[in-house]
Amino acid sequence: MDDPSHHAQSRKGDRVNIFLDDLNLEGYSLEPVAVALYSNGFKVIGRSKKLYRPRGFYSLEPEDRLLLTRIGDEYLNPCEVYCRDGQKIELSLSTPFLVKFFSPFLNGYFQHRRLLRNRFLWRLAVDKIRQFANHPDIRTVKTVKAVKTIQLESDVVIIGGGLAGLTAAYTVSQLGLRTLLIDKSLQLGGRLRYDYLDVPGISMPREQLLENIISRISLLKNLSILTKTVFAGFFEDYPIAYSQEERSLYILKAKAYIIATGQIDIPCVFRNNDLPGIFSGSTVLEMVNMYGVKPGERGLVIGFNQNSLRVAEQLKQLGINVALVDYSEPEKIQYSLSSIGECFGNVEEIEALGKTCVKNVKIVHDGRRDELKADFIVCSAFPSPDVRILNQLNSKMVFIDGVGFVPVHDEYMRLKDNIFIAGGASGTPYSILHMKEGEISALSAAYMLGVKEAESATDEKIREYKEKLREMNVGWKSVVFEFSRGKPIGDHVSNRPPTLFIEKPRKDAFICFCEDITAEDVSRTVYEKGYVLLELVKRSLGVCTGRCQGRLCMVNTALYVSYLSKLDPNRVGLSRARAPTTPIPLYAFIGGGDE
Amino acid sequence: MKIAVVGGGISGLSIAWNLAIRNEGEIHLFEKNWITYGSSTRSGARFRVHFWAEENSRFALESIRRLEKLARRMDWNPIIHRGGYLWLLLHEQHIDRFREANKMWSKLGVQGVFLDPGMVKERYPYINADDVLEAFFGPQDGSLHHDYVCFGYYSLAKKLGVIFHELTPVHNIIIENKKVKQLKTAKGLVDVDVIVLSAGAWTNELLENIGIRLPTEPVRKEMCLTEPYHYFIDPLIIDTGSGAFVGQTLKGEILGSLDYPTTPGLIQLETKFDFVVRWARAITKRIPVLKNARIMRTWAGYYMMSSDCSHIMGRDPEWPEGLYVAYGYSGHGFMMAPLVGELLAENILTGKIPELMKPFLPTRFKENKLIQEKMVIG
Ligand SMILES: Cc1cc2nc3c(=O)[nH]c(=O)nc-3n(C[C@H](O)[C@H](O)[C@H](O)COP(=O)(O)OP(=O)(O)OC[C@H]3O[C@@H](n4cnc5c(N)ncnc54)[C@H](O)[C@@H]3O)c2cc1C
Repeated sequence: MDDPSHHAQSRKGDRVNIFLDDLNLEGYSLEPVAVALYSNGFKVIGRSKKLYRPRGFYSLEPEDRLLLTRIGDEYLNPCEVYCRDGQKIELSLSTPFLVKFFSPFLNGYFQHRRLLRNRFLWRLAVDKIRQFANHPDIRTVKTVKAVKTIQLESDVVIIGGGLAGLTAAYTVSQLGLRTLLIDKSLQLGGRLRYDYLDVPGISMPREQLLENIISRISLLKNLSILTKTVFAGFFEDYPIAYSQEERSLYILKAKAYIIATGQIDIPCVFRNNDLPGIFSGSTVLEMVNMYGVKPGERGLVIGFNQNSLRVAEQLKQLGINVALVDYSEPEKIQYSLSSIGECFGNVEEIEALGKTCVKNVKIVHDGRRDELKADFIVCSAFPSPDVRILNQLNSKMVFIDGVGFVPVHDEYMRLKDNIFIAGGASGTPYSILHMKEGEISALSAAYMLGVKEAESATDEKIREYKEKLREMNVGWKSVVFEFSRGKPIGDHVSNRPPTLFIEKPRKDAFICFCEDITAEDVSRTVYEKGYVLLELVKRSLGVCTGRCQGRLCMVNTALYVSYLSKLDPNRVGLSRARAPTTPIPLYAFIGGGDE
Repeated sequence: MKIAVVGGGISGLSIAWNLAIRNEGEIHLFEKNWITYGSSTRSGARFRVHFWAEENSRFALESIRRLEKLARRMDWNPIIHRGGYLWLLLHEQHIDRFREANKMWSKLGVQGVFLDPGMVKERYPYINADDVLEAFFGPQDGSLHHDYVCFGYYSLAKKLGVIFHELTPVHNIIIENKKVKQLKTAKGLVDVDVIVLSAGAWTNELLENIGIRLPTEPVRKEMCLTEPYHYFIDPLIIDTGSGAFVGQTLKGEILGSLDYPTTPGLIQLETKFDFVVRWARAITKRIPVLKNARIMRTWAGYYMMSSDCSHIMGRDPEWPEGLYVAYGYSGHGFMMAPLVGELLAENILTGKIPELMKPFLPTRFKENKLIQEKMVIG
């Protein structure tokens, strides 16, 4: 167990006692169970379903790679449940002997092996798979919590309460429309809440900016806010949202929707990248700044970009040493890297070392091998919109070189029909642009709903926005607007994915964490079977079919397949996601339909 | 001879492979999206030999045998598992019908077992059997892996030289002198001698272009899937009261659907919240422990319903020469397709109509020789 006293900042909420088996642990009422366990030195909180690999959390999302954990008398995701006094947690971390013995054979391809084609062997295998797959036994959960079904009517629903969503909410409500803002976190603010550095291009300090917006919107009478509530996708009849904490299922009935769900850090693909102690960039900031929990003593931050530098700098300020790595050359970025820590460019391969959590890191760069001490790793090489909600809507996605998969929308920020988009969710970098997009999406939605004065304001804002895009060199955005008007998407080359840090398809570099699928599995599908469309790779391997439904693996799989097959990522494509975009218990549905 | 198969679902794949092993002519398969885009990978992936109509039972029985045999040659494991089907019967009439049918099934060697409520509780302690009068268990029925079966056929067919044209929709059929002449595809005109339409729910569009109408229509069906849980539901459980069914996949996910009314036609393949609510209510009433299962995904596909709920294969002699169909599977096509491919290939290449195929010809509608099938699940 690690030293539990390394709290960077102060912990949030009331001090409570949680119980891990019989151990009494310190927790805080405003932090998720997963964070409390980590701060108490319990980095391994689960095992993967097939290979029983040790698992910690990567992001603090409802769809994280963690398996469900027994919390109280239910199986829940420890990332989305907050600590309560007296809460009981049970971890089952042992690995059956048979699995230890067979796991070397259980790659993503085991279903197709010749050996198992024998009917009797296969029968035996099926029994064993059923017995040993690491899944919770639902029959042991006896109690059922009541969930309210609540219908919410409004003019505009805004999904995501970060800078873009807050700006949109303010703008829409000001125009007199009934507005509902939904956010999955305890508090509004998104990245502003936990990324403590000031926002480039905005003269106001971050804290003041956040406070200003929050206090402005709290005065608005026609704005309702739902926090701790996850938007769960658009069914054909209604979009819905779900709050595990509040035990409420919301049926949304609005005339327009604005998606402002921000970006996520796509996991990097390197050897043992599924070990506990590997986090997304925003998660590390959340840990240190919101929950006052240090991820470790010395970390490796992957990526040379705006976000990774902000992470590195904040860790440094807290006295945590970091080394920055990327496969691009360090000269390419205009930042004094040396002030942050060691940095390595041209990195070809990364390998996390450690049996149950990250202890050391090996890197191959410039033809050399180095071993660094690091007890945690931050993946911040590639921010991307969460493609699932967008895919679920069947809105057109396009791959743009150097940017990634982004949704196609016009300059009015309209995605399709009555659905608008703003901020990181549209792939746009820079907070200042997010605010502009928040305003434009809100004005466009209002105009669509018949608010006349929104029209001239929209055009004005779009002019300003386009100017800013030029000023900040975000030229690809205007290409997206052209796509929305039907311009054909030209050819793109298949480059090395920014998240890829392996020299060859390794069997210990994971692409899909839910189903334990590795780079080797993907490469065999591409080379041996010849499947290069993501829809087919998905059907053959099961990527994007686990509980994260592609949140963490879809973009990586598409880019890796494209890289291996030399096919344009737009031809590989993404796979269709389906509602609900976050898992919801059946008991929540029984409460009420539309009757 | 140049044969074009339209549609890359299980039906088209099975036909193409069966034609290819007979080693005659050049076989092309056209698929508008990617192989398996249609209903074939949106199904419940189950098979059964228990149908009301003897023709269907016989057909399914042979079909599954074919698939099991072929499975050993496929480079994908089709994961065939005989977990059985369990019908929960709530009304006397249902029991009578099952008893009646069981006589026919016994004749075919696939009789099932009747269970009284006590036995249901004993064998399946998780089922709430309070209102169940009796249950019928068909141990010969089971599940397969729909993706892998399709991929298995695909690899086999490719190896035998079938030419696949993926991302290539067929727009029209060109007829000359009462004979099929060409296919108009997205990649241009293709000369052909024989056309097999196995485009699932989309087949009518192509048929209607050349003035052929058969009593079929697509109906959207939705499915629910939960996160994976420790395995405990072996059979597919059908609640004849609510029309809901539920099973568990090898991966541990709980999968199910129910008879949910929708407007027929090629409506968008979206799913409804209201559908999930109804399924959740029906299934948690039947298996209360499922209340805590969390829904992970839903999806939709089409049942291509024919007026007698049985598939259509072969040709009508009045049609242009060289035109064949294999569609209208009415929600149980995956299990029928292995045999459909075999019999149709024989029919196309020899002109003979195999005995098992005879009841399923498209001419049965105008001759009023309908198959009495009522047992459609979901
Ligand atoms: C929800 C659901 C559950 C089901 N459960 C079961 C089950 O448990 N067991 C079972 O046996 N069956 C089941 N079925 C039925 C089964 O899925 C279908 O009967 C079967 O897949 C039909 O196969 P197919 O090849 O005829 O059609 P499809 O799989 O639909 O294939 C048709 C193909 O044709 C292509 N196509 C269409 N038009 C054109 C064109 N113009 N040019 C080129 N290509 C074209 C399409 O893209 C598609 O790939 C289920 C179906 C659904 C929807």
